[in-house]
Amino acid sequence: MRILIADDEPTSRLLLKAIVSKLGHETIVAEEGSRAWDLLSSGGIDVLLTDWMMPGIDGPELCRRVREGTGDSYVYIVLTTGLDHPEHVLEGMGSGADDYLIKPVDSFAVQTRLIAAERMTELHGTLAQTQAELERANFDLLEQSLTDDLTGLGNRRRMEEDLIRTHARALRVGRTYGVALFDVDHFKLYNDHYGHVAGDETLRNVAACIDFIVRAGECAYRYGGEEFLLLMPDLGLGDSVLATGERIRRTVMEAAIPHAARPSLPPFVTLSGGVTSWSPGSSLSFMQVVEQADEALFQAKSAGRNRIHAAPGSVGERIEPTAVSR
Amino acid sequence: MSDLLSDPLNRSQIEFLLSLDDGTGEALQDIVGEYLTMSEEGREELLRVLHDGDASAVEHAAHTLKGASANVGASALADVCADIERHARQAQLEDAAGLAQRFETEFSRAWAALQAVAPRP
Repeated sequence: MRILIADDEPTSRLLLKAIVSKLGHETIVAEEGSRAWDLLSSGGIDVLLTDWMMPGIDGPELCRRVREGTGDSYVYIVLTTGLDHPEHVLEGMGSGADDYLIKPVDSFAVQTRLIAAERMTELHGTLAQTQAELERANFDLLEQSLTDDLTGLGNRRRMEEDLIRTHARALRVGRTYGVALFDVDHFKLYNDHYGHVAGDETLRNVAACIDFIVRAGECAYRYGGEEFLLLMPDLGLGDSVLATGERIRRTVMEAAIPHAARPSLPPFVTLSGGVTSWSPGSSLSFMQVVEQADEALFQAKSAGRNRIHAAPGSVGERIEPTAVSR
Repeated sequence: MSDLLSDPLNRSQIEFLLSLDDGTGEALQDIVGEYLTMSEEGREELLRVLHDGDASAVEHAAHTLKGASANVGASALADVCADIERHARQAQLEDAAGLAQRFETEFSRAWAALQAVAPRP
């Protein structure tokens, strides 16, 4: 262990240093309380052997400061004092000391304290480690509960939480947000033709295409079966939900995943999409915003699939013809 | 008052100090050497504040010397220091001269014995 000896009297310092070194521990010495506190603050100390009376910061004050600190590891404190001051022992233990030693100290007394100290610091170390592991496991479980198993995108639950938060924030600070809903065209025919295993693989690939287009701060979710939702929480001037939807549609189409069973060209897996946005002043709820996107999606499907439709009034409803060229 | 013919040093403490290294006597030399230096200053300080009748300064000086003396096995001197510390705490320093005398006697005895144990280079 790494042991700090704090004593203003030089022979006590030397004696303790010799005893502790002989017991096989590393020693650091401080000639007064404030130096001891500096060393303690920089961490890495397992045990503090401190005198009661010291100039600057005295023993009990040092105990209090160590216990008030938020260091990760436990510092085991042993107070050294004269036999004629039992009240010092009580005050010291009350201030945070774990044990005490009567001066002049001998090896046996120091050794017994250090055995207890080792056990205690190890116990605290294990405890801190277990806690950190539990926190990590907790975090992982939470992540898992919000993730779609098949695609790795956010699941429906995460989507709802994010929509509620995004809508509330947009209302409060006056932001515009966008929602895009996508559906894989003729997916039932795909499954019937290629089987469900291939169908799952295709859903994973489509999800990867969507995730690839998503910008920082935006998030994609698996909305249901072969439906995906993209949430754009912060739309700026010049942002276009339609252009984003188009980028995703084209990325999926250009992935050229064969779909021989569909009744129309191209012979690849394609997406239809409906996009919309919510702007300050709108009285729509987030669920109504999603319904708007769903209506636009329905129109895109009705108009022949493999296209994106924007709900009337959404940000960037009209874009340059070059951006929509197929 | 201690018997002037008795050993001013607690030999078991000296043995203990000798056991702290692998028989080189280095730890004993270091600790006693440090004691011989610090106690000289401590003695001057204690005699001065005893003479001034400054009780709290006497208590502090006697306390420090008591602890250091016990560390090097100078138990008779440590006892006298404890006695002076007690008197000072109770503000009973009427016989400061007597306390100083007893201190001087034990101090000389302890010093002579310690110098024999660990001669200063």
